[in-house]
Amino acid sequence: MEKVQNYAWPITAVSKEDYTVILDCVRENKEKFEGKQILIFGAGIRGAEFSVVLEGEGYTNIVFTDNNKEKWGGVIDGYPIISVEEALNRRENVVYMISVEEGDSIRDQLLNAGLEENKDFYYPKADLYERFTEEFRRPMKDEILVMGDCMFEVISFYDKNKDSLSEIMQQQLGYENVKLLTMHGMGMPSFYHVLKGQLNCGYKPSVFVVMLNFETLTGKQHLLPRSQHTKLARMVSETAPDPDEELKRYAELTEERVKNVQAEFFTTNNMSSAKMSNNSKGKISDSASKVFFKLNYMYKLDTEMESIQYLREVLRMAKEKDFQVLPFVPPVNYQRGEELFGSAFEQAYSHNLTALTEVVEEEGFHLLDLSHICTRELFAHASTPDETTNYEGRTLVAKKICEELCRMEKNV
Amino acid sequence: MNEIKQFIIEKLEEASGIDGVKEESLLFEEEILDSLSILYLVGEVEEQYGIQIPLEDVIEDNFCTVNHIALYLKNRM
Repeated sequence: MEKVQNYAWPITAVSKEDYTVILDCVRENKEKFEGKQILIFGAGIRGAEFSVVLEGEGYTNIVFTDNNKEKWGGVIDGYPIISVEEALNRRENVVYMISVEEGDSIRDQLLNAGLEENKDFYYPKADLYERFTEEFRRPMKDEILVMGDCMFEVISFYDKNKDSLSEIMQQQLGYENVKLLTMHGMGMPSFYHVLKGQLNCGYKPSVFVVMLNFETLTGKQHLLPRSQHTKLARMVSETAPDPDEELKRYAELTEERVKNVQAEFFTTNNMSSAKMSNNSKGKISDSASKVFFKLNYMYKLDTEMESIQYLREVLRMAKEKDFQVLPFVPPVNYQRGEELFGSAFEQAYSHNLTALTEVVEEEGFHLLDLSHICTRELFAHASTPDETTNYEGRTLVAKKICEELCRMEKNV
Repeated sequence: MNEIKQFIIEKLEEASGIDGVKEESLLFEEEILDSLSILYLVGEVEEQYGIQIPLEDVIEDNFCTVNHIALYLKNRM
């Protein structure tokens, strides 16, 4: 019997924004969803997130479709992926949801098929780029500027308290005292350009808190199209009061990378997806975990690579413009790493951490190392292969960053 | 060349969880290779052989079979 390809992603967490917009969409339009088959357009990571949120609301009559015909005939954790033609032919008792983040072309596809938005289909959008740009524009004077990736926005599906790390930090520091410019997949090149954009707008922070995620400092994941955010780079460059040529050039570079890098289809053969039920296992298979851990942490850090050069530029800019920097390394599920690789994990990880620390200290700054503050119980799942923590873990991270900020203030 | 092929096969089997990958296996059609495992393979090869593989070279033409990958790597070494 031919093996059915499961395209599910091992989801134990979701961005707070996505979770909120999906939930709001379903709850506010309950009468449109009840008793219907829900047809999710987009059988990728975000599509899988949709299915988990829907299941949590009691919806299990779920089908997927996707413009990538390679996925037709596959499943996402048992939910079939059908062809677009079949999907659009199923009008009776079906409500469609667009799960693709930048899904305007799919919206057009459904409109052209004669479907009506907010009646036959829904397009819940977190408007991440718009929110980021709005926050970019918010005037700042001597506040704390925080930049990082999705770690600041994701919550665990198991969390009772669904405050994101961003929200916890705003609670602890005060909304008026902190500016958070965070985006999934973002790395040091983007941090540099956005920080420079802020300075060009006349917004100088008192402290720049920046996340140094090994996933974006080693290997090649940061070069993938999903990490480029070309549209965001353009939106931010157009926001600056004077034309920001360097940022425009960076946006063009990201566009080139999106065009030239073809390795971007996320399908895997032996992942398992977490569900929201109490009996869920959610364990990511050992073979898949090993791939993640190697990609995220264990390839040798090259201190000549682009991301490290940008880090140096950020630190030099801070010295030149006279503001403080708090670079920090997020928690790593070291117990899972040791379980998979034995002492080889810590050896590889320590090597990279030492190299990164040396770079930061050479430029005259101190690296806050949060690598080992979280035991596996504080991650989104015990087998989480990245820095995604649960509420208790996020609270601990926020506490450590705030403690360091206090210490830095006392030393000024 | 054989040693390179054996190394590639070992890493593909590690990443995919699939045993019995052959030199002529069609890595995309047979769903042995995807973008994550490609990055893993690239990382492992770079580490093992001390070479750099530009991501622009990670295309189906170069990575469609073990034989193609081995030939690509041999030309880069």
